[in-house]
Amino acid sequence: MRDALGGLTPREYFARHGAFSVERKYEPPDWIEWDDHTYRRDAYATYGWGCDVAELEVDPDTFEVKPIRLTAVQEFGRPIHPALARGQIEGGTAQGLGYALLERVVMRNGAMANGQLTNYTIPTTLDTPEIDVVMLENPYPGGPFGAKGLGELPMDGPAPAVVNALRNFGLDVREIPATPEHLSTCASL
Amino acid sequence: MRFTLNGSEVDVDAHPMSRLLDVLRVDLGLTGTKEGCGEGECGACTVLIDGEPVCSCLVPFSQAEGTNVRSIEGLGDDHPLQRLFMDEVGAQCGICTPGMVLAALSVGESPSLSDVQTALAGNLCRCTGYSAIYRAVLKWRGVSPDGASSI
Repeated sequence: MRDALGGLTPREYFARHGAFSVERKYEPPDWIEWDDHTYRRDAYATYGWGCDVAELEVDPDTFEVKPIRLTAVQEFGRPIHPALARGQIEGGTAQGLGYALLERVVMRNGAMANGQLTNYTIPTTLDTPEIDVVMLENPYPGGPFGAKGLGELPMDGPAPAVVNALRNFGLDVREIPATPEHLSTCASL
Repeated sequence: MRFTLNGSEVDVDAHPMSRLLDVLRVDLGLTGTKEGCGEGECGACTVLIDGEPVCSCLVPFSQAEGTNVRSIEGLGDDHPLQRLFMDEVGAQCGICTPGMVLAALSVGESPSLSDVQTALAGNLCRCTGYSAIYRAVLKWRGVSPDGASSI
């Protein structure tokens, strides 16, 4: 960064010269090939990988589920800005938790019938446990500066992890959100 | 009607049933206070009235008369808690941030993680998963986020 800014920090550069801009376009490497006729080979230049672990407590009387800890292990090439990347993972994991346990979209006449936060509930601080984030750094030659995409990846794993944990309690969960109302029908008593 | 806003007396001619949120944003031009849900669920519009966090979308202006209102602008531009929100990336889209910061001001000394969670339970955040916000608030109160007790 300092080389590009003539030895100055970004703050110094901005104070002296104003905004600094560079325009570059990402081109996928030529070894990534996609055949649009046969729909074969690599549709995307990068694939991220993740693994989630959900630790839960379930009240056997009320079927209330309390997440105790979530662990998200993510491989997305090189984290260019680790603090922002961690935030993306924590945020996506919490959204995935809401998807697993709370968030039910009710459609009526082609429109969402519960589009308010009073009836479409998302996780609050009290619904969101500690989230352990593990970033597996693995620079990827096909992505810009070694990176892969990250925004969507963390949202994919939490619901399967939560459902697997619930199934481990003997609850035959087949749909999400796994609300207490739904879980009460899954119990094999 | 007169009230104290961020330490200064103000006199605003607005309908007594106007939302305090609109008086701040429209009549006074202080757009730091955000409207999220507009129905008291999300806490984005949180301001402090006599030190207590309230949803300004639910407060009729007449109830603010004679009170001491603090909005995010009242913190100045370089409050330590705001800086920690920046350093820890406690804001992503930023809509919850002003309300989150004001609600967090009520967190007392040496809080546990659970204390922070309870203080912020009325403020929804869709982006961060709250973790970075906890880190910012705990550090502001001198508690190491890694060592924070969850009780």
